[in-house]
Amino acid sequence: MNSELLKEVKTPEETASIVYEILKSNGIDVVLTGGSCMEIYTHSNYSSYDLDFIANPSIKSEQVRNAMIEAGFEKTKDRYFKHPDNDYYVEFPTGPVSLGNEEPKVHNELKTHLGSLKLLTPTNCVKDRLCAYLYHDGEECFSQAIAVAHKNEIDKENLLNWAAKECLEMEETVSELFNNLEYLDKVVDNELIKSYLKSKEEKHKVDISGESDFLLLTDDLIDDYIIHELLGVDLGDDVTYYEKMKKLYEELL
Amino acid sequence: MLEVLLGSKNAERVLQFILARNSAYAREIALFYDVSPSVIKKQLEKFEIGNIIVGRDIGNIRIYELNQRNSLIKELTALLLKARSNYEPDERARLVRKDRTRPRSKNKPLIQRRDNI
Repeated sequence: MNSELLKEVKTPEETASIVYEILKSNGIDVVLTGGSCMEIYTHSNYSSYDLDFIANPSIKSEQVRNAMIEAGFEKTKDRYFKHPDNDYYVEFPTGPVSLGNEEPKVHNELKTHLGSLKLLTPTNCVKDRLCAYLYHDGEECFSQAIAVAHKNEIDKENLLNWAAKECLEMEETVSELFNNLEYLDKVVDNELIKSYLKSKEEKHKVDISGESDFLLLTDDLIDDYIIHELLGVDLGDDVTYYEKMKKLYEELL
Repeated sequence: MLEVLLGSKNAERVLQFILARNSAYAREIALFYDVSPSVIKKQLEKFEIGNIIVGRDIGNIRIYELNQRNSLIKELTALLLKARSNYEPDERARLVRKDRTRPRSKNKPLIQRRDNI
């Protein structure tokens, strides 16, 4: 793999694929985990510029370091690798890959125009986001889990079984995720959007019939995947989102 | 928008920030608006004396939140929300979009960008 390509690539899958191939050619087996898998599976226009690879436990950190340095990466004074011509920070957290109590052994292999890339399966990526949501208070991660589940084929039974082994809260969270996904299978009209907003009233402690609470919920859902899909607005297009929510309030309530 | 009523732009900023984030400390607010912490601290002290906000110490940081026991807090919140809804969308989104609070490796840069990939 020509590391010169690192200067030209922009997306997480491209950089991750180059790193994966560099390491593979050095006999180092790694799996991409964490938020970058979500970015890849959702074709997100958002990036945290993080690539977290977990190496096979038999690999010594020195082997990884040597391969990365040889490819032109620099090791920061902490434990991240950064190529001077590439935006991404690459980290190798200690393994094994764990999703709550589960240590998955089966991963997905993507083919990119630059080679291949081993990463969490979409179902495991959903689990990873749900763990971040429930165990680390990552509020935004629930919406990310929904986005991955919506844009990819996931194994619902596997997800349910996993949640049952985690805890009651995780079972409830998975159930909430499935309920939320159902909104995306229906014909969208204002009544459907209203019913989605009403379903959020209890959690957000609001009553959307009042203007103040509607405004509050509008702001609370600024990164909510489902409301953006229902409104037909890209996540991050805040101007259109606010315009449409204002119009919705005037029409509905 | 409420600066005339509240006495200054920074007074409005302080209350808007606390409302949006549920709780906040002086330096955090000052950094967000790129103003001097002492200016923000002065506003916080004024509102604390006026019973509009309440503070508690965590280590050597004083964290403030709206005083939910104030009989006017519901009306004040409604006023702040209405004013916030009239902010420019970018300003409003920046204010309400939550910062990442999940654990993160020590000293790992936090870069979050949109639309440039």
